[in-house]
Amino acid sequence: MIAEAWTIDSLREGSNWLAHPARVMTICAIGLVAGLWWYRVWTRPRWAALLLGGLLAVVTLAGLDPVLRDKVCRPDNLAILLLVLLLCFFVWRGLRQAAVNDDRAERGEPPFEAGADDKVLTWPHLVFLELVALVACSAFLVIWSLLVRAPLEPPADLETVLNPAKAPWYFVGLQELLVYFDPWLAGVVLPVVMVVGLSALPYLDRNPRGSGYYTLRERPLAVSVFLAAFILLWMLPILVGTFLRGPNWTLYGPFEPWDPHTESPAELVNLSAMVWGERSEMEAGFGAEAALWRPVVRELPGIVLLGFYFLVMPWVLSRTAWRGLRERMGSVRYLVFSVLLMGMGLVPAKMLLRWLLDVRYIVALTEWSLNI
Amino acid sequence: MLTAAGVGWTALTLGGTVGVLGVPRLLAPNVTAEPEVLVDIGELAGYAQVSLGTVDERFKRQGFWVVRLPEGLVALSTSCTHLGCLLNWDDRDGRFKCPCHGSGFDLAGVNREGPAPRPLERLRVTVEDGRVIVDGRRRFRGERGEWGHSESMVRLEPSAES
Ligand code: FES
Repeated sequence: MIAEAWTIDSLREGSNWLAHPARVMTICAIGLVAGLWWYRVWTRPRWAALLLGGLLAVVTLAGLDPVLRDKVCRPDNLAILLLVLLLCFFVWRGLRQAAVNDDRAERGEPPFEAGADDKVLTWPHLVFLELVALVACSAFLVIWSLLVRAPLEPPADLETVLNPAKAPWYFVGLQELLVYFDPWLAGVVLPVVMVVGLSALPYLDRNPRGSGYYTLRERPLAVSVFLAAFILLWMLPILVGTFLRGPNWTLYGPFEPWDPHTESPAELVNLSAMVWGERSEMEAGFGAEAALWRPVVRELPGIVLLGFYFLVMPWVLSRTAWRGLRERMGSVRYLVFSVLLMGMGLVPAKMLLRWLLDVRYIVALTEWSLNI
Repeated sequence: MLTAAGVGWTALTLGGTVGVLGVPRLLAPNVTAEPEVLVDIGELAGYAQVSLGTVDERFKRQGFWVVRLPEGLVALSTSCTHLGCLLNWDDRDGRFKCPCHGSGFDLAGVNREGPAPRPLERLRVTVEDGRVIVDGRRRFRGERGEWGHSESMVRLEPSAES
């Protein structure tokens, strides 16, 4: 009995330790790379069933713990569990179709979807179906939220705020990004870049392959960049924000109760303060009369770093690993593509700087409310 | 008239109209955190007795805390300099903590943890006839070097017991 209790406790502690976003992100990134590499193996129905069984077993076992169960079974969090299962299902389904098609392509057969003669007109067929789906989903959501008594938070009050104050689930990922970025960046610039970037895709990527059928072999870069962004930078932050953030937006392991009194998290410093030493300048700040260039000079290390990241790196890549890509895309497309991709990479890069070096901002032109 | 499609479309139209009409109400905030303009927070003599590091939470509803620092008395804004969430004073850690993205500010209002890029704003404090008046219209921002301004703090002797 004692041995068993010890094992369970160490399992809990191990999971709490593993649940730090840095480790979760690393594990998921490795999992994603492995999943894309061996996509023809694990997506076979037998393997996939085994994986699904494993996932359900882990979820059920973890659900035996009262602390975790309490977090997951909150009415507004239950849906997130559903989201995880759906995400796994659709990633499997997409990659499975891709595996089938890629096998067929190797045998010289046309893709699975090519033979299907089920084309119909968007209007009225698709649009009408969408309307029906919309009404059905709304009805389902209303009934579900009544059944689980979906919480309406109390009215806003100037003295007491909910702690933690969580956004609705679809914005929790954005809220989690805000932990690492300045509001105008995480709240305005990054979302705009996301929307613009997604809308620009058809113009950037004019490769006709993979249009109308699933494939990974013909579109490795496109598929993996999309999956990485969607899973690691959008879904994972939602999970972290929902299940691992407690009072004061502090990190808690899945099996740790949300006790509001925990130690303060690590103290952060700006990159400039790390380079020049001391944060005295930050505290004192330059007066309004100070010359404009003074903050810029102070932030030079970060500005140089970002310049290297956004300009020099894509240039170097275009001469080396991505030479073929640049030639195929042309200079202008390549430039837009690389700036978008680097912007996306800024998110995990900034997270890494925070986790490893306790960096608050790379460039902190605080005097002008401009922080990156 | 009373076909399924008729009922469905009518319900959809009605629901849609109500929804659209509800949008302006949704967009209007329930509470605005505008600090009141002039607040008389009491006798200066009373505050001189207060021990160092005391945070007076009585004026949170008006949008500020009164904090006794070694050098004097300051009125710190209660809104986080990251995205403006309302902070909580945590006396165990001695930090003003943000429930939104985890920023933490020390007693002087300096941003220590989390994403907040700049220190808490200090409201203007003046003394009139021995009473301390806080003025929410004028705010002093540390990162702009404004904390040296004479009205950003009521200077007090560091005499009170520590
Ligand atoms: S609003 Fe306070 S940390 Fe973001």
